[in-house]
Amino acid sequence: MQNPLPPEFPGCAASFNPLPCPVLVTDTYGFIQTTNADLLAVVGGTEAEWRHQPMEKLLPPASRIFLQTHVWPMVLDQGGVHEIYLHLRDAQGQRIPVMVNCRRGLNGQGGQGDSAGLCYWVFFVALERSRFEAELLQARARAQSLAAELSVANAKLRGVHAQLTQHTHVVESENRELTELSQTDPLTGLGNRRALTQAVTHWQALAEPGVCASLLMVDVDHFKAINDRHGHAEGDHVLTALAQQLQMSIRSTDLAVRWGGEEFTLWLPNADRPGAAHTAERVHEHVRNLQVGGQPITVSIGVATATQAHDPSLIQRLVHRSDIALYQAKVTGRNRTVFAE
Amino acid sequence: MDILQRNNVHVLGDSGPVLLYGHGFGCQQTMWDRITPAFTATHRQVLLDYVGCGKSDLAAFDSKRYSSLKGYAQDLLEVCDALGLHSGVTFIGHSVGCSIGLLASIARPGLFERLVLLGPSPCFLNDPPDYTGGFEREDLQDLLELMDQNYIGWAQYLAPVVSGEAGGSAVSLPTTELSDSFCSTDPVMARVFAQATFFADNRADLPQVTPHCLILQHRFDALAPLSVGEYMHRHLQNSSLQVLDITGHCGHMSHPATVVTAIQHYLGHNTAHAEPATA
Repeated sequence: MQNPLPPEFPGCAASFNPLPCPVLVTDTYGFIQTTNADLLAVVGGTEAEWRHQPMEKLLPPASRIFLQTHVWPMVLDQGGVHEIYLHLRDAQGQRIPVMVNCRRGLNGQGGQGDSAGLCYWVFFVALERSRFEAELLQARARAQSLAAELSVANAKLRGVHAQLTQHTHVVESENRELTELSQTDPLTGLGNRRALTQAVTHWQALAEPGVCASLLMVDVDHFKAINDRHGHAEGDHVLTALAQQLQMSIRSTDLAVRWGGEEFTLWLPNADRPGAAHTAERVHEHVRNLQVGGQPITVSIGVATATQAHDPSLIQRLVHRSDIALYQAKVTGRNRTVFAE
Repeated sequence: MDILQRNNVHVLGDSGPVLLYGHGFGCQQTMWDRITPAFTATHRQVLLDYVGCGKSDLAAFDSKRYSSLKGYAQDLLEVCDALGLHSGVTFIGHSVGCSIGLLASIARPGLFERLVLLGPSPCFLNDPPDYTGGFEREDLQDLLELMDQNYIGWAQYLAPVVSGEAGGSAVSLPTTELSDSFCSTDPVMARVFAQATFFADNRADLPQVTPHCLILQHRFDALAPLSVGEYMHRHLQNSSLQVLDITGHCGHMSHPATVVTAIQHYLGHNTAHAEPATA
């Protein structure tokens, strides 16, 4: 075997023996030259038995591979390693975790041909460190798999959340439809009293002090006679047609609602008395387009205008006053407009 | 992508037959530093680091491609293409680098004129009763754990638990700290290479190799024992087996003169000293 004789170190082993850790000296080919007492205490055997054996015999298989693929290239290329984690194999074949430092030193005698010299190996038995590092690695693996599970759970949660959001949108839009329906008169498609209340309240919330508003109460003249003579279907038709004419008579900011029966209400925000009078005139004009059984239809209108925009009972007062005016219009001959005082 | 930059390719010399070196697991091209000086005058020498090793471009690492030795063989072929090498190349590999070279020679017949295989093993696992690779599966599992414990000192090894949110890539960001303490730079990539290396079984590929192979067998090698070298010699179509009087697995580092002599002899450039003329 091509193996230069180890330099003689008289008393070398003896001088390593007091060191409180396993120590090994090999040549640069990995053959054991010297072992100290602490090393023999771990791996068993005698120094004579180990001498000239390849050091990898001290190691279990995985550590041999690591020694050959990682440690020797470093030792040969960079002159040593430090804090390498390996296992030694004890006399019973058990793995003993160790931290390893190695330094290559020339033996002072030079070398022939291939690299020559000695490698000094120091081992620190690291049972505790090995245990907690193993735990650390396990903990990391657990954290990794937890993170993966968490990510899956998170993805599911996102899916559910998306469904929920979509569901909420559906419910909201159904709610809007319901709200619309509940504020709509099914026969004429106009708003109902609830829509009127909401419009007035909304306007009051934004109205400047002192600004006025008007309310028109519109009632079909002789509606009971129309129903009696032409039937309820025709009566409904008249109401629907009238609703359309009322829509055409008002501004886009105004609101026409069916108050009940043959009675309609027009809400004219920011309209003073002349404004309201103008709208009332337009209503009479539009209604002239309507006929039933060859007879023209007419309406009576009561108008009330208020200037206390923030009066909490504004709508009740307007309804009340326009109702009285409407009554006046009826008793004074119908087909006319009367203004509340 | 610049292949030559990706694989940290170095070309020594600009004339003569080409020697292409493929390093082994745990190594990089600098491991050939004691071999290359012997050939600078006579050969053009190409050195590279596989992606994931040495000073290669770690960003190019693809854990799928490099989980198989064929991915590393592809590195060899791409480097040859980038250098315009199509034939006449002598491949010199070490350890798993040999298997990588053999795979490349099968994938691209005619590229390699011959192969020098230092400490090759087609399969590290035992497969009783016919084959003794030297290791049991649990030994190799232990090796992966040992690597983990040695890479624990890596600054970023314990820090980033890859969250599913941040992205599924199994590859960690390239680390720079302690990168010189082992030749293989990144612990995750080293683990992928380790698995590709030690769980590979390329025995069935051996008969498909056509160029001549010189097997340089270390006499006592814990990783690639003599019986493995003999197995290769039997199953390669065209090979010779030379046992070097070396204990260990890295003859090119521990006994460079011995390895150089064997290669020179094989290449027909044996630098025999001229016999002094006798009177």
